[in-house]
Amino acid sequence: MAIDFELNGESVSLDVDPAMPLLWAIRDIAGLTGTKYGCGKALCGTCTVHINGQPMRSCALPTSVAEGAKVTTIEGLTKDGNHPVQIAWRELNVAQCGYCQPGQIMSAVGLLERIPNPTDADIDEAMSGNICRCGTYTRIRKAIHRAAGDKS
Amino acid sequence: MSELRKISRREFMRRTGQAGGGLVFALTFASACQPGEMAVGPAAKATASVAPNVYVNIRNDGIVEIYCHRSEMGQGIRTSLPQVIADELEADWGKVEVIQAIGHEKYGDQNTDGSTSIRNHFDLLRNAGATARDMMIAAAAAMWAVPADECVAHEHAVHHEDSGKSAGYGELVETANGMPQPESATFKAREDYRYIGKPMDTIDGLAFTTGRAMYGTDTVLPNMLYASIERCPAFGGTVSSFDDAAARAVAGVVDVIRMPEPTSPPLFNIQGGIAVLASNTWSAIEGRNAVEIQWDRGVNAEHESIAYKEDLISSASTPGTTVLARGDADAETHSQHEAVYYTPYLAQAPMEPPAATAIINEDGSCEVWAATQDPQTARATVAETLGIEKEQVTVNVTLLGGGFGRKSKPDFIAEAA
Repeated sequence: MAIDFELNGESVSLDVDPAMPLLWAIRDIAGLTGTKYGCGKALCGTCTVHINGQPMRSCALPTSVAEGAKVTTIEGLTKDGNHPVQIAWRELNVAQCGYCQPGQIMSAVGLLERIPNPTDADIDEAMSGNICRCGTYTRIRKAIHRAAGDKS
Repeated sequence: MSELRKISRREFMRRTGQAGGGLVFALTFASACQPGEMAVGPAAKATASVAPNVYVNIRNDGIVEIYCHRSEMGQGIRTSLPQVIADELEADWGKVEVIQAIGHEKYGDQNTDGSTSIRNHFDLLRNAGATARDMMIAAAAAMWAVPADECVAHEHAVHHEDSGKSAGYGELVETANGMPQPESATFKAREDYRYIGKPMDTIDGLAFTTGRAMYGTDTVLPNMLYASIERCPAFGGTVSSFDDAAARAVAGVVDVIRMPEPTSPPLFNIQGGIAVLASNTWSAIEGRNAVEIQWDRGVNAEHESIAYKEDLISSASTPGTTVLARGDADAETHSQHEAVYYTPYLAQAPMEPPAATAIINEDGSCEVWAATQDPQTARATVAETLGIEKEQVTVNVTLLGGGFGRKSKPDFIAEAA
């Protein structure tokens, strides 16, 4: 059965088992590998994508949830990689191994759309579901502040 | 393996830009890392190049290609290693392209394990840059018919002060070709470093922030299959019997195969179990969950960590063999402190699970893409597993989503092959 939705601004119709987690539909069927698999249980956050603007864990959501929705992955955030969050991430060299960063960035963008000038506490709360095994948390927090326009 | 689908040579070439058709088989979660894709800089438009050594290739469009022979897992080696070479080479950082090296003994030690890439290879890297720099100087001196010691290399070019002549590295490629490759050169003085010891942006920053960075899980080959392996709950155990009827009924499942039995010691070897092959990862996982397996739990059947901890504590408190005795500790100490330290079993837990993709070509050769810390051992282990020569195996190194030593063992790469 085909599931129709908007993926990074383009209409797609994916012929998948509706129970297949959205992550695998995006990676294996649509061929976009920027969204990563970490734990498969919505515990690590590396699979985070936006569904109608909300950060969601795609590894634990059936693809059927996306029917008719707008899904955005790291590839669709911007064409040139110049979203303020992406720029701040590069300016502060946030990434180490980089594997969790697509998920971190999607969560950070979601946070800033909800709270344009987040406090440290806002950031900690919004980002607590995104695990980084390299431990880049302090730079992530700084980069979110920078993307919010705070140059400190 | 006869049930695996064949792909046409034309399709494979179209999708990957590489020669060879044949069987495609991926372990775990898959997609496409052509090694060059991790490089930065403009697309190749050079028509000639010169390679002063295995780490450096200078193209006549002025781009310096630096081969990173160590694996990147978050320590920044794809930036710091080229930093050292580019500094000694007097290369401009903006004209450097970093290429991930395949597993090959010509690069020397590639086992990226133990935090020693810069510590142990600093002089090797400096030499690679400095000899390449001297080769550029020698080429300029030959071109201008002046003594080499009157020429200096600076900012991606060689200059001759007396005549006022300058030539960019790209312009020197033709003359340098055919000239002897220098083996040693004088290193720069520490105070002249431009990149070494200076803060630099990570070379993969754009790839990291746009989802373009390619890991072991990201290799995609046309018509490839995805595999997921169910393991014995006790390490070293084997399959006594299994029923794959339900697994084969899962949509997308293509085959269910019993992996070769694990051998002892387990260090680098494949670990056995039942592998489910499918057209996508989800089907492979669902199929794996549907296989019914009876295990022979083997020598570790009764092993459990609490009893093992007690064994360790008891063993550690048993008097050991004296290897060295000096002085009398009991008589000379004023106070004594006694404590027992214990660490439990710990999984390395990289964010990216161990993942590899392999293709067996029609001529029997094998090419793999893997998140490996040790591509030379991976190459040897794949060759041994397949019963082919090492020279028939190409190991491409992807980025690693963390390694922590787990990915220095090539079991998962041999399993994919």
